Amino acid sequence: MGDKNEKARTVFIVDDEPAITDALSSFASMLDLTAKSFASAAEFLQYSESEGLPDSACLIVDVRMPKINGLELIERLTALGIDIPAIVMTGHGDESLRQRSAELGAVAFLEKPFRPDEFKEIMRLAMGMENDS
Amino acid sequence: MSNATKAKLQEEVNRLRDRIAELERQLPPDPRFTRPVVDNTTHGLSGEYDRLRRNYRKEPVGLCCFDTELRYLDINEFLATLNGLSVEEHLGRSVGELFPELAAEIEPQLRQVIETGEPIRDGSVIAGTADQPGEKRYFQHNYVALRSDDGNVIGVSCAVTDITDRKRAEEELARREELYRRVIDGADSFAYQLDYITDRYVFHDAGIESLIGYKSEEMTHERWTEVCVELQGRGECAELSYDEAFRRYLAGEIDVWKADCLCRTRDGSLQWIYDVAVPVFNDQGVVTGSLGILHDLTERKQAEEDLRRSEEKFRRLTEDIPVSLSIVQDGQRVFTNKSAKRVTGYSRDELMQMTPGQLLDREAHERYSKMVQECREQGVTSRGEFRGKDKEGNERWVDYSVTQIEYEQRPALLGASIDITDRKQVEKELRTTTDQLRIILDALPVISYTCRPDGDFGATFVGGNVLQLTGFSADKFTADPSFWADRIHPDDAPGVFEGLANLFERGFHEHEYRWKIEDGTYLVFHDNLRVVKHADGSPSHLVGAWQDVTEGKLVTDALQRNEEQYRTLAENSKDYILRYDREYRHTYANSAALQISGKTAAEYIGKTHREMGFPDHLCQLWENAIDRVFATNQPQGEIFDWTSSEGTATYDWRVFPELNGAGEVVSVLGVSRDISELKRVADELRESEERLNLAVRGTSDGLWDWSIETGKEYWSPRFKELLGYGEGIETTCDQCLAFVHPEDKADVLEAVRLHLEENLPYDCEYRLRTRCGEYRWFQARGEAMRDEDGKPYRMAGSIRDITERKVIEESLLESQRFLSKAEAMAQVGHWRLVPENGEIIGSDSLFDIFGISREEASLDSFLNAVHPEDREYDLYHIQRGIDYGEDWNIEHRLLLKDGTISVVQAIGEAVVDETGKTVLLVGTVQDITARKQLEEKVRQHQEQLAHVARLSTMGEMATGIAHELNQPLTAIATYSHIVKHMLNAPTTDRQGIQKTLDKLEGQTLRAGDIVWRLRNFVQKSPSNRVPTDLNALVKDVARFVDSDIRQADVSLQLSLGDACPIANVDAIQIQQVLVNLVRNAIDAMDEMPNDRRTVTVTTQISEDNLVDVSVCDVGKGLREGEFELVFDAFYSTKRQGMGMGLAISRSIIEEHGGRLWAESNRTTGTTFRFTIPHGDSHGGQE
Repeated sequence: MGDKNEKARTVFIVDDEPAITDALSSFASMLDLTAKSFASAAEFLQYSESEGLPDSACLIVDVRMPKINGLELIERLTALGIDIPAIVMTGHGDESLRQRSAELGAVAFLEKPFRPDEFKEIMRLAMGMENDS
Repeated sequence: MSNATKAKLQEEVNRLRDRIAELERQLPPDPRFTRPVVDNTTHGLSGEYDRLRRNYRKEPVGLCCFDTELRYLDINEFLATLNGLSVEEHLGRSVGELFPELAAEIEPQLRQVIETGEPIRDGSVIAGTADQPGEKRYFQHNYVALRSDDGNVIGVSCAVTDITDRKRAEEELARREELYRRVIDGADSFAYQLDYITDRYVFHDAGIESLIGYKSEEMTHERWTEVCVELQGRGECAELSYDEAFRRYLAGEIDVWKADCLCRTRDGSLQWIYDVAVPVFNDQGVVTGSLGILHDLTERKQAEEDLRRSEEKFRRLTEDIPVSLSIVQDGQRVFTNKSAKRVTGYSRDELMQMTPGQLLDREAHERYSKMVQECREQGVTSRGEFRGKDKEGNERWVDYSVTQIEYEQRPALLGASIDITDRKQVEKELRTTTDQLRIILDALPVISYTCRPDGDFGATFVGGNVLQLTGFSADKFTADPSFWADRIHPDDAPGVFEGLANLFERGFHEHEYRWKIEDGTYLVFHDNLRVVKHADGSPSHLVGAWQDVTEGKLVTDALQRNEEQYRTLAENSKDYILRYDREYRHTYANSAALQISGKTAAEYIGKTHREMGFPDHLCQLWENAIDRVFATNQPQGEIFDWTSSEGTATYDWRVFPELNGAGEVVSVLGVSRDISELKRVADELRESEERLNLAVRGTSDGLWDWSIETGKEYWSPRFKELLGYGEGIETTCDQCLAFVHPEDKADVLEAVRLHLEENLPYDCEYRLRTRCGEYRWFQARGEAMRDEDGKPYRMAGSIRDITERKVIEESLLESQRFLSKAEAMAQVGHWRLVPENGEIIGSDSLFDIFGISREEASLDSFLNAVHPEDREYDLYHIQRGIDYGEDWNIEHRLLLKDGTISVVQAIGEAVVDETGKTVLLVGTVQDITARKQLEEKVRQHQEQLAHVARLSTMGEMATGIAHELNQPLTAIATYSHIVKHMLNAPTTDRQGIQKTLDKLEGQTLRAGDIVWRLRNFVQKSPSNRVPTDLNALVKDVARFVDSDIRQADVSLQLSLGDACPIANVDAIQIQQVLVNLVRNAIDAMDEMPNDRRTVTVTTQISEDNLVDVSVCDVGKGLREGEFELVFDAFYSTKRQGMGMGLAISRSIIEEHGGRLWAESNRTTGTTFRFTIPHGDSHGGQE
């Protein structure tokens, strides 16, 4: 595991809800992942533009946010040619939202509150990590 | 709210009722029935459909689905039971097969849903149920199409709700409301609040429109001054001009503005409105506005006006009529008119100080007191004639009648006196003259008489001395009209009647005829008649002197035989006897003649009158008469006046022929008799009769004289005039009866009968038809004349026109009746209390309201009827009224004897004298129980509605709230997992665990807070108003709508004023209003760019000391005309939303005594603003 691996294991969390970013960051740290939190899509876009994103990373994004919502963010990333596995979460999901996120290529669609175990599995899958690690 | 109005209440009730119905109909369909279309292969939803299905079977609502062939696909047990079949028996079969009677109603609806795919929300079916087939019940059917994945309609799901109870409750409500509406008719009052700074009505009861035709928003103070065309100040404003009163009011010198305003309403009609207002002060103590109530008092004004008019009429009449009137109350004169001075000589002021007794003789006073007592005890009109003295000490007679009346709502006596002194004097003089006349006539050898001027010349009066002269009593002549004529010697009779025929031309007549006296012998009578005429020249009657001249005849005869004998007789006669020859020379004069002329026999004998120096005209007269005697051989006669040494006297001079044996006239004998006395008496008689006639004509009474035997009546000219007729009218008893009003005829006849048969006084009032057809009221009095056996033969009396009096009495009665009726209708009673003696007077309605009888009237018994808990409150105000002259207007309860509790509005006013002492308390009490109950009912409705609306809001917000709740839940779950993980780690990071647990706790509390707020918001609790800080409330609301704010990507700005906006409110309801306004604001900005969406909530204390809260958006704004429309129920500018929010919000704010309205922002968007009273002083008026 070198720098590259370290970098690959970065979890980007984008949610305007501080409780969620804090909880999920702690959770990622617990899994020995690097967590980076952003309160809005714009902040994340700015970061990705200035810093660049590691090859293997994962994005956890909330659907409902001011200005640019989670699905729009994925769209924009795709348009920018940035390919990052995205996990979409929402406080209140409906079928169309789920379908839309699937169309955009999101790896998972999680409805809050989700089980931390499930989240862990999905995150591992998204990051291409081994089941037992 | 005490100032709620009928119109407003009614409108409110209707609006609420409609809203409930509409609301229920529009509630979103149960999502459970739309869920089966969800593809159950998708994430996480497997099993949910089965769960739903299981629940579905057990729902207490009828549920079923049909396929496109209208066959039951599924049905729950509830509905199956209702249908009386098992679930299985339904499946696969159609409605038509199972329930043919319902198919016609249900199948078309099902088909419609299948064809159009659109839901039907309010299908309704009336049907019986399996267990009670006879009872018709109402069911509401909601149909929703079932769709396959590809969107094709594959069936219909249907929810069946039994709404029978609701339907019945609605009907019952409608029935009750109708009842209430009738009950509260008559209670009209509207509240307003006026701001003088802006000249705007800050608040104006919407019901004002029904009063003056202008909508409340159209009203300005300026318009009000136009509308109000006349103003009568009351209380402190009384006696002041409008400008003066208003100036003082603005200066704070008048505490309560009270005025009756005559208003010209929009349609131009006039309406009396009672305006009572209190000033609103700002911090500097300057009057900046008014808080008031307008009360419709058109009816009361009209009643007052009617009363005043009738009183005015009464006064005018009483002042002008020649009858002296006075009203005596409690032994004291309280009113007297101008005429009283004419009669008594005392001024009005002097009279007011005098008792009737001071004016009357002792005897008259006793009679008067008795009469008044009789009037008071029996309530009858009494009358009598009394003698008294005027101020100068002159004797005065009055005809006095006294009646019981109500004067200023209290019993009083109305006395009417007519000065009859003149009549009395005439009567007295007449009596005196008549007496004198009788004495003189009886003493004379001449029988005087009067007789009718026509027909049989029947005697109406014959002197008493007729008995000694003829042997017949005077009655014989008067009783039998033909008695005199029948006894004339048959040879003389033709000449007698022939002579009488000329009587009327000349005015007098003299003749002699033989007349058979009682012993059968004929005596020669000399009859001298005169015609007494009416003023108009028609003959009234004949007056005559009847003298037995038989003796004179005998003397003449004897003289011829025995000159000596005759001479002796002649010398001794008191008459003046003279004899003339053909040349008019005296050949004889008796001693009486010599004596009266003062001449000697020598101076007489051989001389003519001319030679003796008698006046020429007399000489001529005498010579002519003597000539005629010589020429005709017939006696002649003349009456002349001659002035002798003893004065002027009238002489009856008769000249008789003296015949010689051959029957030739040789000389003429003249006999003169002084008849001055007789003539004087006759003149006087005529004169006094004329005076009587004049008196009769002068008085306003008509006189009548009814001969019972003949049925003929004499009506005086005045009588005829009263009826509008001239002389020509036939005057019989029948004619008179024909004039009597049909309704009065029986009474009149009975009164006459009672008088004639039982001798009761005849005094009755009845209507007579006058010539123009109008009926007028008359008072008739009369008395019968009876013969020795007591049998009446004649009845005479008077009538007096009392129409005016009747009209006055009637109109007074009428206005009082009207007032009391109006009171009863409005359930208002009025009272007067004299603090000095505790005397209390109340109207009928007052006693009804307090449930006590008139006999119990006392302050204590009224207070006893006041609810014990309110008694002190009530008494406190009365005491303030007595001690400080303060008015009051309060509501309190009554606890009646029968246990019922009612609510009344009591208004009291103190009347103070110039020293500031309260001399009288007056007031009204209005039963407002029904209104209070209705207010309570409306309040309950409103509460219920608000609750339903909150539930509905909650439903709309559910998504956002769920989202909000899921945030902490997610965090909690995550933190918990982390803690577990940390605990399992080889090294325990206690500090890390502690930190995570703290965060976990924070998120748990946050979730709890959301749930708590939710529960609070939807809980149904009775309105609970407590002083609340509106700033804190706004912050709560901000948290509550946070999810919506975030979802809609809007920024919420709070601009909370520094001053602490405390108001007495139901926090949940105000929160509801704010949530509603904020959510509306968010929705209004739907189409705006994200970065501009801002909602600003501002709180402040307004200049007129109201808590002012506004919610401002920057949306596209409302169109012109929408500013009021948005507050109507079911008006919505949004695609979803039922348009109830603002209507309910407004009703909540109004319920809090405030106002909610919308205004356009200067740049863009709309501001919704509400104001409610500041502090917890709200309700001071209630």
